[in-house]
Formats: sequence, structure tokens, C-alpha cells
Amino acid sequence: MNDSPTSNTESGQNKIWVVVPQFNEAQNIEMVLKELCQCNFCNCNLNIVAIDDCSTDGTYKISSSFPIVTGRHLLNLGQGAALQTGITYALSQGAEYIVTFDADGQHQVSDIPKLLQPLQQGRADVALGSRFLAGGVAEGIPGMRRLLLRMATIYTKVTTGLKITDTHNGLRAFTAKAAAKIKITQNRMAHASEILSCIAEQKLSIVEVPVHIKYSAQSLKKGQKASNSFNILWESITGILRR
Amino acid sequence: MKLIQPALFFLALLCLITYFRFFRSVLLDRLLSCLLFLVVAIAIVVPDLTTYVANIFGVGRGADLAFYLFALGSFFIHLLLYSKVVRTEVKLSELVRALAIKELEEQERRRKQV
Repeated sequence: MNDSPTSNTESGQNKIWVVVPQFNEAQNIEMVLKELCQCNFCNCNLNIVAIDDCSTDGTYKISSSFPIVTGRHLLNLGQGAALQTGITYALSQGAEYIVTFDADGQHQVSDIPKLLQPLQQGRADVALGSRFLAGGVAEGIPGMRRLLLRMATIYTKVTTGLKITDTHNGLRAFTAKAAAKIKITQNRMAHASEILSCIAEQKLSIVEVPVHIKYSAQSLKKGQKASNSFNILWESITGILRR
Repeated sequence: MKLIQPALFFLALLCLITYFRFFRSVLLDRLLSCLLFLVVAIAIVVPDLTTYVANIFGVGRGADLAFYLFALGSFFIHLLLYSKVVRTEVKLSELVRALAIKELEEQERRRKQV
């Protein structure tokens, strides 16, 4: 039974929206959404919008049973596309802060207030989660993945000038103003690099926050393969044709 | 005249007719395609002319010059086509997004009515 989604419209409190892009996460989505729905930060509930990227394993049906907003792509486009859809919708609903949160169970709900704090204090436009900062945890990360992510930080430094420690972390928070300036056109996994490029181009202020990323055998199996880094690099380079 | 010449001429003419029949009808495009056909037809009918032109550019044979131009032209066309595919993908994404958001807004409207 899908109860009414919670909303802070009437309360006048800060409107925090969590965007959860999902694709074939039937095994994890229930746990993830349960935790998100149960959390209570700053005396207000989170507004949650899950965007299903044309899953074929019943993920959409599961997330529709929660008291959240669940949208669906008619075609599988990619995580980047699902994120942009969720962000666009959250902005249309008057969001003041937007958090992106993965559906595979790697992220911890307890990290959300840590990301929001610098934004609410006005210290930054964007808060990026980092598993490599002091205090951050990358539980169960394979060695090759760690190496590739380190190399990605070098690529980001060269292409955008941004000095950050974790360039492909899906846990991020934006002020509404910052989110409106970011246009994700890379549908697949190169969107992470594109978001950073937009941040640099728009001269948005950023802060990195240590977060806990938990890898599981399943998330590793489904997640990015090391060889895909070449595809991401190619998509990033040819992204110039989208402009 | 060698057999390859009328064969190539016929194929070039077929390409021109196909372009006129199925592709863009913008006048400038048609004029450019006619000009290209003319250059190709002259090169086919008077092959020694290509060698003369190639020598001007420091290239030994007309066929080599034709190959270089063909390679560059092909690369350029591939780039244009890839760019078009990417732009089509962007438009498709925007369409899928608009449909998803429309469905969400409809859900919200129904929720408020309840």
C-alpha cells in the first residue's frame, strides 16, 4: 500500500530531497528505502524520490510500496539520466537541498546529515562524500578499484582543477541553486565526472565530507568493472560533442 | 577507356541520385553534391589529371591523393554522424525524462485529490 509521501511543504522547514536512482536493485532497494524512510534529521522527514531506470526485476514495484515518490523511465538510459530526472523533479517541488543516494546499499543514511551540515551553514554549495578522507571508510574495496579511483582523482585535477579525494562517489548533497546549475547529459557512468566538470565551470564552492562506503559481493558484481574505466574516459572526452 | 571508368562513373551517378532522392533537399547541399560529383566524374574520365594535381601537392600518384582526401573526408563524416547520434541520444533522454516527470506530477495531483 502506497501511503502519501511525507512533505515539509506545510512545516516551512528546509525541504530536503533525496534522489535515489535505481536499476535492478530488487535485493537491496527494500532495505535502502526502509532506512531512508525511518531517518529523521533536523526534526523533519526526508522527501524521497526514487527514479527507476526501467528495471526488469520488480524494483519499481517494491519502491512503489513505500511512502515515497517513485518515478520511472520508459527506457533504460543510465544512472546519470535517472539522477537528472530526480533532481529536476525535486527542484520543481521546491527542494532547498538535494542529496543523491545510491540504491545498492553501499551508502549509509547516517552520512546524510554530515553532508547537509556545511550546506545549511552556508559554507559550501556542494558537499561531496569521500571514502578516502580521514574518517572515511571504504569497507571491502578491492585493490584495483582503489587504484583506479586514485587515478581518477588525477584525471579530475588535470581536467577540472578540482582537488578532491574521491571523484566517483554517488553520495553528494547540493543546495537547490547549485543543483539547478548542474546539467547532467552523460546518461551512463561518466556522469560523475561531468558533475565535477559542471561544478568547476560554474565555480561552485565544494567541501568534501568523510563517508562510509560498504562494498558487498553483490554490489561489486553488479557495479563498475575496472575495464569500464576506459569507457568512462572515452565518454568524458567525447562529451564535448554534447555541448 | 578502361572498364573501371564507366563502372565508377555509374556508381558515382547512383550515389548522387540516391542522395537527391533520400537525403537533405537543402539547395546548398545539392549544389555541393553536384560539384563533388563533377570532380569525381572528371577524375574518372581524365585520370591523368589527378596525377597532375597530385604532383602539384607533392604527392606521387593521383590515386594516393584521392585516398588521402577520402580518408580525411570519411573521418569528418564519421565525426558529424557521431555528433548527430549523441544529440539524438540527448533528445531521447529529455523525452523519457519529460514523460517520467509528467507521470510523477500526475501521481502528486491524484494524491492531493484523495
